[in-house]
Amino acid sequence: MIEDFEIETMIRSHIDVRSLADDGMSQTFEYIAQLTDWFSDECARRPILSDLLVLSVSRSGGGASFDSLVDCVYGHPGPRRRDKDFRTVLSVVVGPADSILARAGDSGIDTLTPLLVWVVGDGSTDALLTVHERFDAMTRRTVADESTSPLMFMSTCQTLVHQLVRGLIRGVPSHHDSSCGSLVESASLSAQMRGVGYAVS
Amino acid sequence: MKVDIAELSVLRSFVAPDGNPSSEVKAPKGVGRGFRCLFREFDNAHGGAVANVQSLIDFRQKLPQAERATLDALFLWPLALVESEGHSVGYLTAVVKPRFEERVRTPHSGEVTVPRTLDWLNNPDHARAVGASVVVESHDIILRVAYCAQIARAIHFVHSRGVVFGDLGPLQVVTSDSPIDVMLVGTEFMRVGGFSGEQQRVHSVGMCPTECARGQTVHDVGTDRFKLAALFRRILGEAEESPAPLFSLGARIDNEGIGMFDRGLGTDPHARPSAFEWYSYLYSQTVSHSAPPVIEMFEVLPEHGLRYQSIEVTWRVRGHRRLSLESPWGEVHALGIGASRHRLTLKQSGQFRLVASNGHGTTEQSTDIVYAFDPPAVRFVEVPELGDIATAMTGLDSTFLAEQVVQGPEFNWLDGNFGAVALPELPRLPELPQFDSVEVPLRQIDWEGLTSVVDHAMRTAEKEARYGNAGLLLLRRRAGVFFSRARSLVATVATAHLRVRTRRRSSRRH
Repeated sequence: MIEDFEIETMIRSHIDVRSLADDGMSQTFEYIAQLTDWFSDECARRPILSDLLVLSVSRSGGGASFDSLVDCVYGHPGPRRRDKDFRTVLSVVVGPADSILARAGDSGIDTLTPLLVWVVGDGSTDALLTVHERFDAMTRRTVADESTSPLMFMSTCQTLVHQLVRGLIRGVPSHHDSSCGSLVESASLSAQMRGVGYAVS
Repeated sequence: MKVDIAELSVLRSFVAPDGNPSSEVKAPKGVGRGFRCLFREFDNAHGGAVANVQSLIDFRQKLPQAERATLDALFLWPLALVESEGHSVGYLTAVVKPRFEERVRTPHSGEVTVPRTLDWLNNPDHARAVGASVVVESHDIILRVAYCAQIARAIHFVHSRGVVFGDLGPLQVVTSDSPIDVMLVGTEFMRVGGFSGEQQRVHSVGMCPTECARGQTVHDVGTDRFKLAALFRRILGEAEESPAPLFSLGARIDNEGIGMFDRGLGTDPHARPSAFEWYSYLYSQTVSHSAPPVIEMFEVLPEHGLRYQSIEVTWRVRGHRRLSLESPWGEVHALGIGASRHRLTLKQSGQFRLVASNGHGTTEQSTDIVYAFDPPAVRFVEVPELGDIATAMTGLDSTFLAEQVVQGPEFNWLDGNFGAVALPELPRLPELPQFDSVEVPLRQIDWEGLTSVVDHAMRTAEKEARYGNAGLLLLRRRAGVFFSRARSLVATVATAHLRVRTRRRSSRRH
């Protein structure tokens, strides 16, 4: 008689990216566009990724502008796999300091989820600590990036995604949160951040 | 052998499918047989990991040359440790051959080359969407079985030499379609028998054995066997479902294979099929699919039965991709590949036919004739009290049955049977005279004798009634005999009774 076995359930890990910028803020748009382009390529290169990870981007207005399950899952177009369970393991906030400060209160980010805040544009270094204090996430890193290039943002996100995927592939689902938390506050990530200011707590 | 990292000339760096940072380097002198090597950095270069890789290097060097060649063809085996300032930081392996790689389109980076890991085999829609050169459809079981056989062969190679593979998973296997071949990568979690050092134990996603579900750190041949079954289940199951329920395999592999998955994914490590068992089974499947199917056994139990009786048809077939069962009454049942029996209701006599087919032909086999006998008609005869004998033959007394049968007063289920097989109605008894000796006390009647007379008469009449009108005449004759005997019996009793009364009267006079 055929039985079905209790084989470990795969729950996708979710990276929740929020773009807290006013419309027309081209610098933030560039950061987000590069991130989603890179992630789309990663999904194309690695079929297993769609079983492990979901990356979504939502704008300050609240609407989703990118969802990897819809936009990247090759061969499975459409939202029909969205009902599968997933768990948010990392939140990322990107935007200029004033926009972030204005919207931080109603961002709805879970305080238990590790958080990376990427402050872009002029004056971000001055606002670094204010922005850092504005969020309640237990584990968070705030980065002040006054450069006009998303290069460091991309390399940081790539490191986080690679490390996260590596842990997922190694099958440590029960430690998703803690692994992301330790990644966000890790010294190795700090070592990557030359020329920018950051705060970790 | 150890190589200093300063000697390595890096050609390109990349992230391996399992997430490990890796580099392609020029092969140092004396390492490997090609011009290039793969440098894999230790995830966590603790003493146990380094000692384990060293034991793997030693194991390879001790193998006879022919076996080492086989090992190198099947695994990216560690060739040498890489040190930096006296500390081991990684190890060198051979590179993945181009036939295990795939060129795919990405939306923004153009075409890229990636290792063709098992997740490509498991996601044919994805492979097609990004223009992969090899797309193995999920229904192409024969090809998938061939890949599984190659994986089983590789695992058997190390198991038979006392090596546990460890982290077997979809990203640890790369495939080639020409020829159909596999290579196992990510070998630093393998463990040579006898190695007792501390070692990291990992389970790829979806591969955690049942004995490790609560964080236990078992890592042995038993866990390898579980992972082998889990890997095959994913390759042979439905691509849409992840992980594919075992049930979905029923339409894809035969009953023997289902049984092996049953054991392989079970909780008893000792019951799990070995890599060799898997290889034997999968290889036999590959061979049997290259010729028309073979029906080894096909039978019906019971061989004959009553009409509307439940019967079971069983079979053993090899090498089939489609299977159907035709009944004598024209029904065709499409059966799953993994099915080995089918229950149905016997409606008509005749031969059952099993038709098995694959890409190379069709094989069919018929049973002997299975006879469907009509069930005997059941009649209930209520034996009346003596005075009511005239109304005894009333046929089926549904009122009486309703009181006696658990199912209740509804007897509609009998209608069909009786319509098809019921015997002719027994004739009503002729008008016969009633007993006229009503004064005879019932206790003086020989009931046993009378009952046996009635039984005999009824049995004979019913028996004869089965064979036509002769029964009517016989029934009349038997009834006449019965009544003459009964009347004679009653008369005897009445006479005796009269004698007794006469004696009593005469004795009172005296």
